[in-house]
Amino acid sequence: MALALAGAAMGAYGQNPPRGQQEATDDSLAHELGSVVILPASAEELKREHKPLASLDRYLEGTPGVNMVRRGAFAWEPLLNGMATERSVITVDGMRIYGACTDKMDPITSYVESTNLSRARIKSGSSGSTHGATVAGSIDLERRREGFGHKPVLGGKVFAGFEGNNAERIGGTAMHYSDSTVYVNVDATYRRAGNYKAGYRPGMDRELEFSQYAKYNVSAIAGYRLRPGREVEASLIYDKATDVGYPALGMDVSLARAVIGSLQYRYMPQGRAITLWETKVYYNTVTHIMDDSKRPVVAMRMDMPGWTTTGGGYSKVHFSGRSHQANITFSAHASSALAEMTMYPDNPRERPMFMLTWPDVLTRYGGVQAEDRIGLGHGVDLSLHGGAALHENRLESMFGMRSLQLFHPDLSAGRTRLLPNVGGALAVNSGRFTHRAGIGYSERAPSVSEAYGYFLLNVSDNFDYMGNPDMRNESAFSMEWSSAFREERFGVEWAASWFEVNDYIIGKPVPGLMPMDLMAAGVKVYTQLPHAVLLNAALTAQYRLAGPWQVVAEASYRYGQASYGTRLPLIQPFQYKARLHYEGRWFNAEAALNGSAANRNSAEFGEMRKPAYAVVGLAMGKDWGIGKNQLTLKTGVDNLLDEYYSTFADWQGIPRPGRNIYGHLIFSF
Amino acid sequence: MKHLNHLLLIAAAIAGLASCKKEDDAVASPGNPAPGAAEMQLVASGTVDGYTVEIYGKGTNLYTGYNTVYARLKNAAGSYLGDAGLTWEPVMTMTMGGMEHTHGCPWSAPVAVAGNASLYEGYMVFIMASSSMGHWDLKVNFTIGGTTHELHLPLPVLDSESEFHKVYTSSMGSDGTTYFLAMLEPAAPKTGVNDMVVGLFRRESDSAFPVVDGYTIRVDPRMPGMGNHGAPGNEDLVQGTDGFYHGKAGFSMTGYWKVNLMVENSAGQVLCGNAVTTEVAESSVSFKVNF
Repeated sequence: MALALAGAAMGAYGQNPPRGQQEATDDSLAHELGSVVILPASAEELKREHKPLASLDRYLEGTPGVNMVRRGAFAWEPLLNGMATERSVITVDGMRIYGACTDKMDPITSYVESTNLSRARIKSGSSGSTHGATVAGSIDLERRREGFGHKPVLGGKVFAGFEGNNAERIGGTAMHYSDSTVYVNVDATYRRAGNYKAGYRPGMDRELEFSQYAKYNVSAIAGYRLRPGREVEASLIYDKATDVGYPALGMDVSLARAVIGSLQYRYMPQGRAITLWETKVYYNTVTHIMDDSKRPVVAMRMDMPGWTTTGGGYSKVHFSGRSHQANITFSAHASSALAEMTMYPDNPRERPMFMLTWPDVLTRYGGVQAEDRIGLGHGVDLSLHGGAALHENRLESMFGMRSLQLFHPDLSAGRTRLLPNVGGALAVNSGRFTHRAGIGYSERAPSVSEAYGYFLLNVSDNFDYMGNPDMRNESAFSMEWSSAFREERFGVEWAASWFEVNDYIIGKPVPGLMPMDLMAAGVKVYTQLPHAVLLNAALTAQYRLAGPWQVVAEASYRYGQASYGTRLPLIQPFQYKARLHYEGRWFNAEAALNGSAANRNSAEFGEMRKPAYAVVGLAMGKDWGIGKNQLTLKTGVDNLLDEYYSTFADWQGIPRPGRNIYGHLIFSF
Repeated sequence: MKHLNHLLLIAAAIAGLASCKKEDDAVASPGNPAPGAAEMQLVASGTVDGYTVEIYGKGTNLYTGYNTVYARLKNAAGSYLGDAGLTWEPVMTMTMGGMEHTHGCPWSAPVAVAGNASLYEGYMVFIMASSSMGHWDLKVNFTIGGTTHELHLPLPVLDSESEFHKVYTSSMGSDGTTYFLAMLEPAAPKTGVNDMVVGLFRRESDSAFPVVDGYTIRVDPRMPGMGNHGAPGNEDLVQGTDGFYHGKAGFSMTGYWKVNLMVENSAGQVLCGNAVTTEVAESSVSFKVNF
């Protein structure tokens, strides 16, 4: 069961993104349909990673099942199994956090740092329902924590990186201390980038204006052992991005800030059926301020701030029996989402135009989720999961309620839903073959934007989107199947997943409605199509050549189609990756080729056809041992041939960066 | 402490009365105000044969368009009188090229307010403002003990229209009749669906401006500064039992809205105004709100 991936396609494109390392050595996960991205910290992990200081976005971009939608160089939006963030649950150590931007400019992944995460656990479909109702699956970002040790250890690292294309400077430090009763991790990371330059095109300006950003992240985590088997942990993340440009959008961001705190209690009895009982309470606030003051020409100056505040907790109990590994999670959270828009007419005697784009929506959620893995013997394992949650939305603003009643005269202030899920997977391990098949069913509630959004401009299809509070739950039935063959020097695996989504939520134009934004072509109101189908398929093969040489080849494909000829947007076309890896005694190196076929663009959602492309990257790494310390240098060049290209996931067709020479330096002590 | 409060109140009242006296010969004595008429303000008063007539508006001024107007009659002893057959008629006297010309405007007869026989209430829709060209007078008649008294009170009327505010408009209809539209509601527009109430009148003669019955007023609010954006939630206005036209106007955000109007007769013919289209940004008949 030491297989790398399952259930999802390889999201492989772009210019030699850091791969992370997919593995599933964790027992509880080997039987999930999902994967794990390791963010490197140890010398061994660093050896295999060519761009260790890359942003979390770049790590996730190279991950099976995940695509990243780019609106600029920062804060990419993760798509899981070809589905956008309202269909997935993204958590940080199980904590629910909601982005505060109505235009998806601040996914949760933008408020953490790759340097203080240890891994990202990706679960596909209904098996990702532990911390929230989901259709596509879940991504849980786990913090780096040292854990208790036998003897006192003080260590740390200092790192610095430079990316030539956009003059990105990365700097920071991470310190940790641990002994038998205490552990502490403290770290700080700073990134600042200028505008990046696209690949070469004759006669074209290559610099992409408004693609700069700056980000600071400080985090601390501390554990204390009260007595054997009883531990408490406190954690705090402060993340602040300023001066973030979004070249694909009409506005930038002057401030995106999250404060995320938690307290956790862990109880680990010895010799009991209960092996671990983890309870956590958390609280976080997110502030997001959009800014058009740097843009030379705008139709109208406006302010668009947004805020979310979330508090919650969960209690998760793990049981271990003779042939059972089970856990049950009780979780609850409440979150409020408020976003405003104020437009300022040129004539000061004309009153500012004010509206609530998220009308102070309170979301309350409480659920229970259980999982059991049953060893049936003869290499056969059965995993079952199921649960249910109550989900409530309540409009707290009378102003917002009155506004929405223009469009939905019968709107009520609140709505409660029951969100069930159930699923199972069978894994068969026989000799060099491993097969796994799973099915699942889950339902989700419409997101705040889908239910209550008010004139949210989507610049891709150039429509104002209006929420629809009268929608039913969206439900998905999924089937997943993967097989792998592995011998000493050769391995091949394929995985496919199929999602049949009923009452698929999507925006459709309503001809009678007039747009609010001056440039918008019309108004789309969220509605439900009877069916949508999403197919994900991936194939990976690796072969160890003589000595230190290894070749890896990956290919993946997605397909998305809904009722009435609706072609789903942001669906990855056929993409491939090939890598030649050398791991020698003195250094390691890699040459990579990433390519894509042209996309099956959805014109209905403003997508352009992006031609096929192939880009080449080179990377090299070297370590030096200096006493007990280690110095690691990683250097390379992305997009070696300076190809001008753009992918299906680049909004408004913004080009990807051209040639980029980089160097990352890490000193560990 | 309580006594001190009382003293302060009395002092303030005296000061207020004194200052009123200085500015105006009228005395705004609180008397016995009608329930719900707390915002009543004296706009004119005059005395004839020992009787004083007081005219109140809802604010300190009267404006072009719809005004709720109150009247009270006081005898020499200072008692307010009911049951005096009080009538009124606003008249505009204009001097143009040495010629004098008079005309009226739409108005309703004063009726005693429920529960207060000595307070009369009605409305006046002033169709122009007072200016150097002309002035408004209110002709008031009342009968006490078989004797009819008449009094002419000058009424200053200010223009209610400004760049982003318009609650009154008039238009020559395609049938050759001049129509007058005055908006009563929304007096304080809000984001969302607003109840809309409009008075529709026509000119029959210089002295007769009756309510128009059985028409429809189509309503289409737009934001000229926002690409002529409009919202759902509008409902065309039809006549209610009170004679006014009732409907709804939807405003999707705060700001400046032009409320485009069309007047249709009972046969469905458009007499005033025009439809807003992508080519035609506004109707020739409209109100304006800015909130």
